[in-house]
Amino acid sequence: MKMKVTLIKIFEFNNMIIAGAFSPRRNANLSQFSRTAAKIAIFVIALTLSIASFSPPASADFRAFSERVELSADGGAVSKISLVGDGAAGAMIPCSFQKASSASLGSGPSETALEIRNRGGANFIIVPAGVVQASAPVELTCKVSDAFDSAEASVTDFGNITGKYSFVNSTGQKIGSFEVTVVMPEGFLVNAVDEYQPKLSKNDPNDPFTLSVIGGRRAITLKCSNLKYGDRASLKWRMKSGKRSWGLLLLFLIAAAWYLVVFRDIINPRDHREHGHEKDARAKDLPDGGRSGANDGAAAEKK
Amino acid sequence: MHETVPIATAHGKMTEQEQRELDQLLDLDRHKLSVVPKKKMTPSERWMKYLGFPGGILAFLLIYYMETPAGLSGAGQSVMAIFALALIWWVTEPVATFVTSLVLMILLVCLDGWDQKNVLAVFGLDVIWLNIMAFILSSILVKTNLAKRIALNLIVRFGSSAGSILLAFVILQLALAPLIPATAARAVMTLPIMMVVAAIYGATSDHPTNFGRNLFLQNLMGINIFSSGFMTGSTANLIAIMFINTMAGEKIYYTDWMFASLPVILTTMLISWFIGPRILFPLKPEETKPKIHGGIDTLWRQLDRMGPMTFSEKKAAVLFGLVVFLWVTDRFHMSWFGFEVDPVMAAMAGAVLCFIPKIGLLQWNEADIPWHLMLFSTGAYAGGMALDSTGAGRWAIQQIFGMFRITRDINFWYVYVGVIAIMIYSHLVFTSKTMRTMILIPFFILLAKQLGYKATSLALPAAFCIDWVIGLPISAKPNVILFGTGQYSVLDNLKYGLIVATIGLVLFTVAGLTWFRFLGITP
Repeated sequence: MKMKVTLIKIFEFNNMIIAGAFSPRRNANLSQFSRTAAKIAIFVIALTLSIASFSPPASADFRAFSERVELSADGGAVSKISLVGDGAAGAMIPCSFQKASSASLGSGPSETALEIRNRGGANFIIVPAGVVQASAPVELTCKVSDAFDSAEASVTDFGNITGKYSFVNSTGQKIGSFEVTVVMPEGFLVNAVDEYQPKLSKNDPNDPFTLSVIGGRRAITLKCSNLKYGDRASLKWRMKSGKRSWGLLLLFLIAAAWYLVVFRDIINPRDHREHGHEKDARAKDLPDGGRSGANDGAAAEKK
Repeated sequence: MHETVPIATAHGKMTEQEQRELDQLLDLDRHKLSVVPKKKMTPSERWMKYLGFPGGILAFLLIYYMETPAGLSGAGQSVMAIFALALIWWVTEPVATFVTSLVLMILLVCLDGWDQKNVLAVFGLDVIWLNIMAFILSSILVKTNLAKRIALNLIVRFGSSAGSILLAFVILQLALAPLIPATAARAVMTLPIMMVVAAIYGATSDHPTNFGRNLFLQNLMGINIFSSGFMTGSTANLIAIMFINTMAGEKIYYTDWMFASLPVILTTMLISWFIGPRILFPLKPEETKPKIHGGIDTLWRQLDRMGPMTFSEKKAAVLFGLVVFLWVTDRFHMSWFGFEVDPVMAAMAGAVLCFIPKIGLLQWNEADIPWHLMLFSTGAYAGGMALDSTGAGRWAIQQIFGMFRITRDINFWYVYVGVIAIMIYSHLVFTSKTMRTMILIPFFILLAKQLGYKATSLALPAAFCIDWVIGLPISAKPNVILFGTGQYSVLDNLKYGLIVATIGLVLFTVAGLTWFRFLGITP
């Protein structure tokens, strides 16, 4: 209704301008083509202004957005979102995963189911008006079945599984402080963080992510601030089982023991003589046939 | 000059034996850099070699199998373990340094520390190319005897004793530092001269002496440390200035930097020159004089026998001069040519000229390129870059800072000493000055702000220490180049480097309490 009124007003205003601008007294020879072009341009401006009237007021934003994604070994996850801010008009919270099965508000007996709507291939949790408040955080929970591909085929070299998280701020509101923590499945560790956004800046060259341990499980936390409409916060990491191969330990221990036995002659000058070929090779390089070098070596050994 | 020294009359003619001995001494073909020298070991070095192999493995196993610390990634932990093993093996040398580098690269890939593509790509880094080109350029100075002529001139004028010739090199490096910002370029320029001087004093890769250790390590110190005397001494210095300017909003001028830093640098170098031949690597009496019959007089006669500069020498001087000219004038390239000639490209252009028939002076077989050194460098850089890329180096620094428990009421000078110590010693872990600067300087700026002090009170003295990369052959490009001569071991480098670094720490602390305070840098 509001849009219709706005459009009518704009068109009335446009007609007044066109009537004045193209009156026969001022410009009788203006071509039909120019007139059409001007009308199109004005229509575009009108449309833009109409769309702009739908955007939320500048003051409405989320002061804090905090998400915790707890991954499980089967590829599923539970995402808990905590929101503080202006929710008077309701909100559409983008979900970072494709297969979000159910969403709810709060927990325990007071839990209320929330609608998940798919728009343009992306899932949104629909939060009713007035739920999100500036005074206290509100918790949303969402269950996900495709947080990462746990199938054996998706396990890459060295047992790594790639995980991805991507949040595009399509809430229509600015997010003052954004934080996401991805908790790895039990027994997994973060092997490497391959990509992240926001990127390092010239003024703050510290990584926006940190690695930590939460309740005995490995986690990555990404923090950023002032996430405007359309801004992205994302992570791509490799995780794998935290178990190390004991075969390598054995191999290295054998190598160390073998070296200590076979290379005893390094510290034992008598045994060192057995390696006469080394001295012979050196002697060939010396101008006097190695006589002086050999003497020096003997002197050093005597010392 | 010849008029003042009556060569023919006062010293007579050289005997055949003297001539043969001198020719043999100065025949650098016998000490090719591309040949891996066999070293004689002292008993303590033998023990280190023997225990180094299992020691490295033990360090690796301890780090690799410990529970992954909270802030460290799995790859970071693997890289730390591998780097610890390599560091111990490089220092103790149970296997050749380039073999250790190859082991490091294999482990990096096989233990999922860093991608194979990244590891192998290190061989294409500018530092490796600069090294190769630099050794080609260095070969023309050796082949044409220009290096011998310059070295002989230097010795007959300053070489009456080992002390004075070592001091001459300190002054030479000081003079070159503000002219040529690229430290590797300075190393390349002076390397052939150092080699000839070392040979005259009886120090070769086959028979390293304390004179050689002092000469090469002191030049290593000079090349690196003098860079921190000037704001334009290295790119990392300029990055630090950029951070101080943008993050702290404080403008630092060339003279601000020079007046503050240079006195500390000069004092350090003089102390280094003094303690090197007397305490660290004491010279035996026979090492303090040129190792030839007749001493300086013989060298005068040799110089005279060389006659005027040959056409080849002049050509080598022009070729080398052209490259040096491009290095020195890099800031004007854009206005002159419309493009900038990078130091690597300048060296490459010089190398091309060296091989062009009629113009050049060198056949491929005459280029003395130590490929084993290239492999060593590649592994070392791969390790350093993997530490940085996995965040392991940054994590280690944070742990060190965490140990200090810095709060607002802490005494400024504790923090100051901690900052300088971390900046100076961190080069043992980080092989890139730029990376160290990018990680640490912003951190120090924020730290100073948190404590309520001017950002420059911590960040500027820390920036003065960026170029103190003197502890290991892998710490910087000139270190790698000089290590290729085989005149000193990794352990020698570590010993000299750590002692000079500690002297620097003390001097910077004293300067912070006095000179920097007078200049208004520290509170």
